[in-house]
Amino acid sequence: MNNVLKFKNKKANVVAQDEIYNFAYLDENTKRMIRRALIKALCIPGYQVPFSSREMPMPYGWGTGGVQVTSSCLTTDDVLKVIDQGADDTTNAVSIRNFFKKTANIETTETTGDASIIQTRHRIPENQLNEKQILVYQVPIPEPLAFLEPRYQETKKMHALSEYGIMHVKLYEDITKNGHIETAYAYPVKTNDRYIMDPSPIPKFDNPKMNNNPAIQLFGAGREQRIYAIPPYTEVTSLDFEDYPFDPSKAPHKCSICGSNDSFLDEIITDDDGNRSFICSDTNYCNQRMKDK
Amino acid sequence: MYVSVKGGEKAINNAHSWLSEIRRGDVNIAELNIKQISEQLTLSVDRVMSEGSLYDKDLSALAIKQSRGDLIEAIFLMRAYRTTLPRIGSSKPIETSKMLCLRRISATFKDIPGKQKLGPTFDYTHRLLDFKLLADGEYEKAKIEKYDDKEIPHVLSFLNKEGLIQKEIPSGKTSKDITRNPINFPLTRSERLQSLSRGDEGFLLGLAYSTQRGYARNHAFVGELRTGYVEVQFEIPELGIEINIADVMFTECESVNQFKGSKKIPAQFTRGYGLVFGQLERKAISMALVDRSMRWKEFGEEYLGVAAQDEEFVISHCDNIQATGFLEHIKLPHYVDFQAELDLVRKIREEYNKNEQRT
Amino acid sequence: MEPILSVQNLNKYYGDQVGCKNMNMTLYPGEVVGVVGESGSGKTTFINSISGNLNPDRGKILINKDNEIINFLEISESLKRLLIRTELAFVHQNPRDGLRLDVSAGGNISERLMSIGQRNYGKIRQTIFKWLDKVEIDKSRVDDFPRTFSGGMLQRLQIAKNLVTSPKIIFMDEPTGGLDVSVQAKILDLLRKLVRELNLSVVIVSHDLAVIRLLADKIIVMKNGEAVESGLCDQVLDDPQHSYTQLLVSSVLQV
Repeated sequence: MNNVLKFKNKKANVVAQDEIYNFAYLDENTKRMIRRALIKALCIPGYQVPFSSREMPMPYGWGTGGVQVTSSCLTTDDVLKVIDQGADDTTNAVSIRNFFKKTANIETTETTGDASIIQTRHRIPENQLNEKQILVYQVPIPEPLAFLEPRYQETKKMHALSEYGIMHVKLYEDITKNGHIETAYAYPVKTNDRYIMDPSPIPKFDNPKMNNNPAIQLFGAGREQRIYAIPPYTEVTSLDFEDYPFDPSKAPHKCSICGSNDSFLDEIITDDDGNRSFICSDTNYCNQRMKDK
Repeated sequence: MYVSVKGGEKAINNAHSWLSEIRRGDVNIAELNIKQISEQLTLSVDRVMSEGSLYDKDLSALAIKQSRGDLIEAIFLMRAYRTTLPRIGSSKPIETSKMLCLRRISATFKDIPGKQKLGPTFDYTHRLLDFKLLADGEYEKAKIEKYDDKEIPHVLSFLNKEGLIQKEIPSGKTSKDITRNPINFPLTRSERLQSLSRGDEGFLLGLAYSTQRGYARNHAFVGELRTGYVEVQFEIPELGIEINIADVMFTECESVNQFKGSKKIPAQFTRGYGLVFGQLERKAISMALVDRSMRWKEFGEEYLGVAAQDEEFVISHCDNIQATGFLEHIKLPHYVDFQAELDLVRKIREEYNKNEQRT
Repeated sequence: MEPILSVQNLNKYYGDQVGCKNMNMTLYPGEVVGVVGESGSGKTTFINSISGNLNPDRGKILINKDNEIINFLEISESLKRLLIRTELAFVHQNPRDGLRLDVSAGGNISERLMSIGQRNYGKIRQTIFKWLDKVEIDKSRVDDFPRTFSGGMLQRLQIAKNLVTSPKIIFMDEPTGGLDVSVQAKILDLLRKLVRELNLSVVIVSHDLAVIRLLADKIIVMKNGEAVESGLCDQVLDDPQHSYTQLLVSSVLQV
């Protein structure tokens, strides 16, 4: 991405590009269009609003939806945090954070509490969010029914008419086969008792954090051209059966750095014999705990 | 204490410098310049403009240079740049019948008003490596007048006069720009054609080929294929005048397909349409065939359940930038998702083992 | 007693071709109406038009739902689809059209239960077993996939899948059509048993007079998209008035 933005070629008479892009890359009309979609999405929690996704200077599948949502929400006063898999320093997070540093010249942070906008791929931070924060999720496949019915023409109808029987058939089959609901991430939820929604590929461990969260939760799927949202303090329930209730389980270990017992852990293979240890996936949470000690 | 190793900013920057170095290659070899690419790799430049949907030869050449000749990467650069360009307005519809053709052929009629014109084509060459090109300099000069500057009517318009081919009835509506408005299935034909025109050449070639091999066979001939320059006219509303803003090279293909009739309509040929920037014949023909096969509903044909007939399947998967992005994103870390699955598999196996021991 | 389903002057065209025309029918609770005719007579168009699979061009379909008369062709799509998955059921000739082949037998039976909001896995399993028993499929097959089932078992499974939510009206299109004669007889037995036991209201389409004679109380004979004769099943078959019905009856008797 650095190359796209910095590349100059005087021979070809191409203008240096840093200066010609608008604040946070997208032009104001595009941002307005996206903000309209966001407002609609907030009004109908969990409903997928089609929007005219733009081509971004990073590939589809690498957070283009989230980046467009963040770009449309950013103001010059914002403080941005970007995480990928919970960490601030994985490739995708670094790349997106630098993108906004460069195109919006805004302050960035790794501290969850200091951020006003947090763009995330596949995790919800361990620390409780507050009413002044926006959490922006990157979404690969926004349609929770997609793996049961690939056609949007059909799934649109199923959502409109709340025909969700087939979703539970999937859970039924899981329990029958394995005694468990087999979905470990992207575990489907029902939002505000109406729309079934894909929470993006967060581990099911994070699902309960979506429920009744004071922060605004926005979801952007660039390639699939969909935006959806959960307004603050909205009921979000994970699908289950009365006698097989949703279980947000995690590995029965604690973090070998900070010792936390209740954060989501990454497994690390520490030597050639395949010995393993576990550390917090939320690097900021882990660092904070170490500092506090 | 264990310190985890993760991506890190420094590693990324190092990777980028290395990319820059390797792009340049051996510094003892002269660096490519943009004009060399835009003048000598014209068909690459055309493809990048066409699927990048931005007509600018220099930028296309720059993208090819920057992407180390990876055309999909180059198309991606063009698309990302195109996003940021303001829209001043829409041109008037182009008149391809007024094209200054450098090539114009028909496979359906031998003699046509305006004549067949072969133009610069690989079609009749023997595909032998030409070792003369290893040395510099030598080339043959064209021996003919290059452009006809009179209008050449479309071949299919002759069939049209007789009512032998299905009429295209203008919808009278302005086309919606698919890059500015979200598309919703089912699509209008205009949205379909826009998507196909930007679609991946290889993907459409494969689909078009599958229709020829019997997966929704529709018996296509090239009714007409023409390549040449067309004036693009723009009306300035404030001034109330039209100006010519560019001469753009297009390739247009109209296919003539299997006739179809009913009690009400006597047998008629049907058609498919392809239009792309530059001289991209394979793409234009593929586009026409795939366009035609997706029109089964309109012509009351049967749905045979094959890919080329399925609008949602074709259009959702023909964009190589979407496809490559999503495909390659599986290189990104998926620690969290994998971890969640790992935990679940362990748990299930544990319970399984417990049950095994019990029985 | 009020009819549970009443069809009035129903017409369905394909372009300018008649699918079915001027069709009338009343179905009372616990009654079985048989529709017979040769292929191309419009009987399948008729049953598809009154069950929500096709949109008829003209006419009325009135459904009595708990003493409320619902005008089936004028309600919203969402209410229509709700009715289709709660009050109505459709048994296809080819069970593969009515089943999810990549979902276990139990999963197939469970879908309608869950779509009306049942959320207790244990209870759902019990209901599934009860229905497997009713349609005489061995309980041990509950977690097997339909593709491992024989044609007759598939049809039983489809019937169970449809009846599990106790729909008020059941449509059947040649339910024994694709089966061997011996298997046909067993399915017919089963259907007759279920109809009596559960007091089902059924519209059944068949080209086979024997099937209709066995199951139906009333009969409609169709030819070229129209009803040529209708009435009590025994009456019509024992004393056919229309020449076409006479032909049908005599051709069966000759066999």
